[in-house]
Amino acid sequence: MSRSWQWFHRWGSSPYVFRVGRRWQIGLGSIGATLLLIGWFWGLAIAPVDYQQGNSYRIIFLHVPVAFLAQSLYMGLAVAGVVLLVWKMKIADVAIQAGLPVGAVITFLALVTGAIWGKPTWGTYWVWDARLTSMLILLFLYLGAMALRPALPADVAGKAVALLVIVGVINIPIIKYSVEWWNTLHQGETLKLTERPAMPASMWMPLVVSILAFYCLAGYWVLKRLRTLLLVRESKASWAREYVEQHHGL
Amino acid sequence: MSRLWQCFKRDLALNWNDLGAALRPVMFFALVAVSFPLGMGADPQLLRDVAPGLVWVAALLAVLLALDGLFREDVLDGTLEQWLLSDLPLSITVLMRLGAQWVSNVLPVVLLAPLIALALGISAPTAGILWLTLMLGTPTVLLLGSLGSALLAPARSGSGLLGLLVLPLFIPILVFGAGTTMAHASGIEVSAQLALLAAMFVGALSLLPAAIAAALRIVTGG
Repeated sequence: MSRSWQWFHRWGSSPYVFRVGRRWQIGLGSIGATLLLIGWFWGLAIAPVDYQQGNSYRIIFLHVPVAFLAQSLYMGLAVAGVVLLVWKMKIADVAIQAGLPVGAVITFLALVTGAIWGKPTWGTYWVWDARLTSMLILLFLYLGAMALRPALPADVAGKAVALLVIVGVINIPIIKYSVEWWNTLHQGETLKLTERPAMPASMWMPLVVSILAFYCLAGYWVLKRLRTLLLVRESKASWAREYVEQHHGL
Repeated sequence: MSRLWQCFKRDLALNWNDLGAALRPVMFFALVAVSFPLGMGADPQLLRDVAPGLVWVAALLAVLLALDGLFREDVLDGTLEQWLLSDLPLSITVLMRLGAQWVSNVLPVVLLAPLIALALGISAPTAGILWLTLMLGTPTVLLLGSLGSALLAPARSGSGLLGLLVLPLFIPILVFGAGTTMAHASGIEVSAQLALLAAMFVGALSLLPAAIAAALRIVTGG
């Protein structure tokens, strides 16, 4: 068996993922926390005041990272779903179960921070605008996928959730397009990968740092949940018992 | 081909035998539509303005009712296992079931909808457009929704959950269905929107039966 396949098959082993996941968890957590401190200090204290919105624009350093993350997490979960359905990799199922609540909370946070930002900027907490509405629908997609698992027998629930997440991801662009056609008031994209942002560098650089920080912290959170779920799922296996005995003395 | 026709006829006969259950969605639709004027007051202008969206939302809820437990019996009585064993592709058998379900449960809703729309004060040509959007849109909605029913087939209490799973997926159809009707009411040419609705139907028809079949295989552990 070639080396690359060995790498692939290792991810089917729960103790291996549990062990390696710990290292990644610590790494992502500390990098994320450091970046967040830098990004927020830079953004909240050093970056200049916006000539139109004053200081209220500074919520951007929370709002834009979570809004990015809400969509990326769903994409990531759909990829995990494909991995589960095509390669029958059990760890992908645990990853989906670990990631869904994280995504739901992040989406909720994006909606709430958007509403708080909307009050001083547009004069209202909520408008039925395309991006707000499709974000709300994304929240319902997360909640629906979360609600499906407990309703089904445990042996089929994982794959069923994966299929639902994949269908949701195919639908997201259609939903987004249709809602955009329906109504729009939101400003255009804040950051585009292909164009130079319209903001000055003193504003968008701390934003990029905050975005990176949130991606790392979300990875930390998902890994933490994933490792706990692995312990719960495999509570009868010897490696899990040993770990719990060693670290918690139970 | 004749076996497929037999599947279709069997499902129709089953629905015909339990006519009360098959007509439940249309009765529900009528009641929801009637509740709105009672709840909002009978201002003709207001009713005329909201009628397209109102009829569409009521139709979506009625389809949701038609979807409830769509495959539950088949899982319980072994029909699904026969489908899996058969040399007919599961996606085609599923399509026959959905066709029969649309004819017996959803078509009455689509036929009643223009009457309700006229009662709410919509002009006759616009009611015709509304009927056309429902003809094009409800099969797509049924296809999308039956993915939810397939996933929930082994669940004991699925009806509350079904709405949460599939209503977000219905949104594009709702937007275009109601939007097209409203655009026509304000005198805008709508053939492009109708073509888009038809395109969504064709896309759903070609992709979703495979997804529904995959869902049924997953939940039966096959």
